[in-house]
Amino acid sequence: MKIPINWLKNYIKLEHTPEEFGGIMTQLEFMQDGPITSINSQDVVDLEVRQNRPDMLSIIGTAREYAAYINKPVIYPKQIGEIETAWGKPEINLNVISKDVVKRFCTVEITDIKIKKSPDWMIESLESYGIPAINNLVDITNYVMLEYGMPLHAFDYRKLEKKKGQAVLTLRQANSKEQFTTWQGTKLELTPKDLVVADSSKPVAIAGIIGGANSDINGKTSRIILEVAVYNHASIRRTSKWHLLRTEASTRHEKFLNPEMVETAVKRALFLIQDLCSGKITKIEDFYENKQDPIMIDFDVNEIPRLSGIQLEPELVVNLFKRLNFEVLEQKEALGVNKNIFTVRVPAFRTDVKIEADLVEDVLRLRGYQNIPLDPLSSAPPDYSTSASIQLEEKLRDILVKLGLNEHITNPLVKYTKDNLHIKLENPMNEDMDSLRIAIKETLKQAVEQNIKYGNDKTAVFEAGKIYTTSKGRYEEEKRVETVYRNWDMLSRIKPDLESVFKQLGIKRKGITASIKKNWIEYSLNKKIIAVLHKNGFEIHTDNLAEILSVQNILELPYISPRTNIPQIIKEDITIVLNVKEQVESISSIIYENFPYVKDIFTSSVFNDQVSGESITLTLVFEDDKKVLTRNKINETKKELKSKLKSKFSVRFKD
Amino acid sequence: MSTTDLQKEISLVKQSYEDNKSTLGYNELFIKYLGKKGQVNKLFNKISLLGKDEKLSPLKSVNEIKDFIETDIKSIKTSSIDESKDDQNMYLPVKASETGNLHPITAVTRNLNQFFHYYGFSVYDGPEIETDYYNFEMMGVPADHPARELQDTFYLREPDILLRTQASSIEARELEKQNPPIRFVSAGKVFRNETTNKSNASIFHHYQGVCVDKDITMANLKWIFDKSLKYILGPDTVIRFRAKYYPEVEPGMSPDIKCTFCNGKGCEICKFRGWIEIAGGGMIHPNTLEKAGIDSKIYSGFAFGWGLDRIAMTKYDIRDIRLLFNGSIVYV
Repeated sequence: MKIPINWLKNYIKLEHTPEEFGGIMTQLEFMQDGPITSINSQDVVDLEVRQNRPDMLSIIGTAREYAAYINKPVIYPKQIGEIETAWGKPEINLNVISKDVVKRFCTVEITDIKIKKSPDWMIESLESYGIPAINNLVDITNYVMLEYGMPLHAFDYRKLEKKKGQAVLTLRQANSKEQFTTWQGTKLELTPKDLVVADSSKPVAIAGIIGGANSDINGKTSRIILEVAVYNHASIRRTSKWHLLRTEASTRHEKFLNPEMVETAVKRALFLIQDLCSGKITKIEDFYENKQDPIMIDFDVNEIPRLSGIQLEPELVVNLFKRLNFEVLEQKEALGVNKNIFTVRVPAFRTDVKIEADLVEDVLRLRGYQNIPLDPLSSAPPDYSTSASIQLEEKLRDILVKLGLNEHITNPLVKYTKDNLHIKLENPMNEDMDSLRIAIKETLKQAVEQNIKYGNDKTAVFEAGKIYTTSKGRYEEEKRVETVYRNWDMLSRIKPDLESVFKQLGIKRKGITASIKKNWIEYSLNKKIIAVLHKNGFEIHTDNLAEILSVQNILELPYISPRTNIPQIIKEDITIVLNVKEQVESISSIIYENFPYVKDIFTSSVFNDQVSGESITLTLVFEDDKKVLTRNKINETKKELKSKLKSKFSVRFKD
Repeated sequence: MSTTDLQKEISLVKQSYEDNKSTLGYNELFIKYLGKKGQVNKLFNKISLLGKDEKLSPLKSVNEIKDFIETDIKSIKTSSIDESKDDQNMYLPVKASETGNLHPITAVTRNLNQFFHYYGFSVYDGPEIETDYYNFEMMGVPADHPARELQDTFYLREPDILLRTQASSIEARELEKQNPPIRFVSAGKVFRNETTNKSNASIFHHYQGVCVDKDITMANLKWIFDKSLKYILGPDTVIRFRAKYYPEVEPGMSPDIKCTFCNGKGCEICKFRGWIEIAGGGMIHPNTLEKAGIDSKIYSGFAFGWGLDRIAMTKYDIRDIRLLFNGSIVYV
C-alpha cells in the first residue's frame, strides 16, 4: 500500500521523518517495501500489507497504527451528521437474490450532482497514490476508498433501465454466457459463479470488482446511485481470478471486510459529495440482514508470558490494547482468584483478531519484537527418530559421491506422453510440464544433456528424488535414487558401481535375486525390488530397501571387517561358452548362493566366437580366513559348480 | 697402508656420504655405505689388516661414522615413502582427480540438519502429492481464504489432491501423529504454479522446523533463529525480528538479515529494502494444534521455515534459480 506522507498528515501529526516512519511501520508488521519515492515532489512510503489486514489498505488504517505507536489520537475526517434514515431497514429498490454472498449492500440516491474537476488537494492526493483524477464524483469514490479501505461505486441513474419508472438494483448471479463490458472497455463472458449488480435487464457492475461501461459517470451525470457493500470474500476472489480482473476494489473485497464499516464510508462520501458536487441526498437503502456483532475475547494476561516468554504488567497491557482501539471491558475475577482476565472488544475494522493469540501478537508488535529475549530451549528433546528411509537416502548420496558421481536435482514436471502412465496435472503452467515423471532418468537425462554442453563429455550423475505413479486410481509416490552415465563402460564402471552400492550397504550378494527383463535386470531382496540396472545407469528403490534395512544397518559400515588371520585368497578362472549372454547374470547368482567361499565373481574376458557362441571367462575369488580351503577342495567345488550350471543352463566349459 | 692414509680415507667416506645423500635414495645409500660390500665394511676390512696397536684409533673413527650413517639414513627412510629416487613424473602438470559432489541444496540441507540434530531435532519427510486438508486447511488456509493468494497451486484433482505448496504439510501430518514433546526438521520439494523466471522455477525447496512442548515461547524461536542463521550465514550476520502474518502461526515472526551487499543501505539484491527476508515463523496457531489433537492451552510450539534455494544461491553466487535444476551446476 502506497502511503503518501502528506495525505497521511491529514489524520495524524507525524513525529518522525518518512524514513523513520517506514522503520516504525516495518516493526509493526507492515514492512517498508522499497525506497521512499517522490511523486509530484511528495514523499510516498510503500508498505507491505498481508492478507489479514484489509484495514491497512487505507490511509486512515495506517494513521491508526502509527497513532498507537506514538500514543496520540487519530484526527478523523469530516462526515455528514446523522441522517434521517434507518440503517439496515428493508429496502424498496433493492432486490438481493444472492443473499448467501451479499453481507451488506447500501445505496444512496443523490440528485443535482454537478460534475466538474476536483479540487487540487484531492487531485494531488490521488495522483500521489497513483490513481489518476477523473472528475469530482469518481474521485470522491476513489478518495474515500483509500481513506477507509472500503470500495465505493457510483452508477449514473439516467443510464439504468427502469421498471415502472424506478431504478431497481438487483444482486444476482450472472446468467451463463451473459455479456458484460467494463468501463475500461474489456468485454467479458460471465458465468453463474459471478455475482453481478444488475438493473432490470442487464448487469451494470461485477459486484465488488468493476463497473460497467453501460452505467458509468460522465460529464452529463446529474443523478446517481452511490453504493458501498460487503460481499462474501470468496465469491469476489473466484470471479476476480477467473476473469483475471484485479482492481483496487477486488483487492479489498476479497479479504475480510466488516459490514459494520459501510456506514462510515457512506457518511464520509456523502459529506464530500455535498461539499464538492453539491449533491442532494434523496434516499438511502440498506440491505443488511445479518448484523455482525462485535467480537469479544476473554483475554488472560498470562497468555503473554506463556507464548512469548515476557511478562507484562496488566496495566501496561490494558494501555497497549486501548492504543490499538481495543476496548477493555472488565477485569474478571474467577473464583475469587484474580487471574487477570479481561474481556476485550475488537474494533470493527480489525477482522483479523479472533482469539487470544491474536491479541498477544498485537501487544508484542506494538512493544516491538526486539524486546523479546532470546531463550535457549531448555526442556529435554524427544527421542531421536529420523526414519530409515531418510538415513538410507543420505547414505546412498554418500556412496554415490564416493564413487565419483555428481548429484543433480531436476524438476519432476515433464511432458505428458499418451503411451505411458504419467499423472497429468489439471492446471499445468504449460504443455511441456503438464505431468509428473515416472522415472527420475526422464528429467535427469535432460540435465545430463545440458551438463555435457559445459564440456563434461564423460558424465556420471545421480539424483535422489521421487517418482509418481497411479495404482488402482490412487496416486502414489516413491523415493528413488537413479544414476545416468554418459560415455562410461558397463563392465568397467556402471555395473561395478552398482555392485559397490550393494557392498557398501552390507547387502550380501548371496541374498539378491536377479531377474532378467527385456533390456534391464531387476535385483530383488526379500522379494522386493531393490535395484534395476539398464543400459545407461541404475536405479535404487530407496523405499523398498529402507523397509528391509534397519536404521542400525544403515548407520553401520558393513564392509569393514577386522582381520586377525591372513586370509587365503585363491583366484580361479572358469570359461563358459553359451549362446544367451543374459544367463551369466543368473549363473553368478547361483554361484554366490551355493558356494560360500566365493567372495567375488568378475568378468575377466569376453570373446565372441561366431561358431560356438559367447565365450566368457569369469574369475572366481575364493576367500577363506580359516585356511581350510585346499587345492582339492577348490577343484571339487569347481566340478560341482560346473555340473550344477550344466543342469540348469545350456552351457559348455572350456578348460 | 699408513694410519694417516686410513684416517684420510675415513673422512673421504664421510664426505662422499654427505655428497650423495641428497641425490641417492635410501636403498642405494644403504648398499653403497652400510651393505656387505659397502664403504664402511671396506674400512673395517682395511683396519683388520693393521697391527693391534694401530687399530684402536681408526676403529673408533669408523665406528663413529657407521653410527652416524646408520642414524642419518634412517631419517631418510622415514621422510620418503618411495625408497628409491624421486619419481620424475611428479614434476609434470596433471588434472585433479575427479570426485563426486553433492548438489548445493543437499549441501545446505545437510549443514542445517547437522545444526538441528545438535539441538535435538530429528529429520522427517512427507508426501509431495498432498491433500488440500494437510497442505491448506489444517494450516489455517481453508478454501477461498484470502491467504490462498500467496500460493498458486498445481492440482492433480481439484480441489482435493494437489502438489504440496509448502513443507508445512509435513508439520500438519506429524502434529497429528506425534504427542509432545515434538521436535523435528524437514526439507522438501514444494511446487508453485507460477511463471518461471530468474527467481521462480515452479519448484522450490523448503526447510521447516517444529518444536512443541510445554512452555515453548517466541523467545525460544528467536533464539533458534539467531543461532541457526548465524550458523549457516556466519557469526557476523545482523538479524532484525519483526511481526509478520502467516496463516499457520499466531503470533507470526519474520527474521530479516541485513543485506551484506549494501550493508543495509538498499540495493538491487535486497530490492532496496536494506534487509533480506530470509525466513518466517511463529507460534503454531492454536487452531492447528487443536485440529491435530494437541491441547493448545497446555502445549505451545513454534514452527519456522525458509527457502533452501535462496540460501544455496547466496552461498554459491547463483543468480538464476533455474540453473539449480537444469544440469547447469558444474563442479569445478
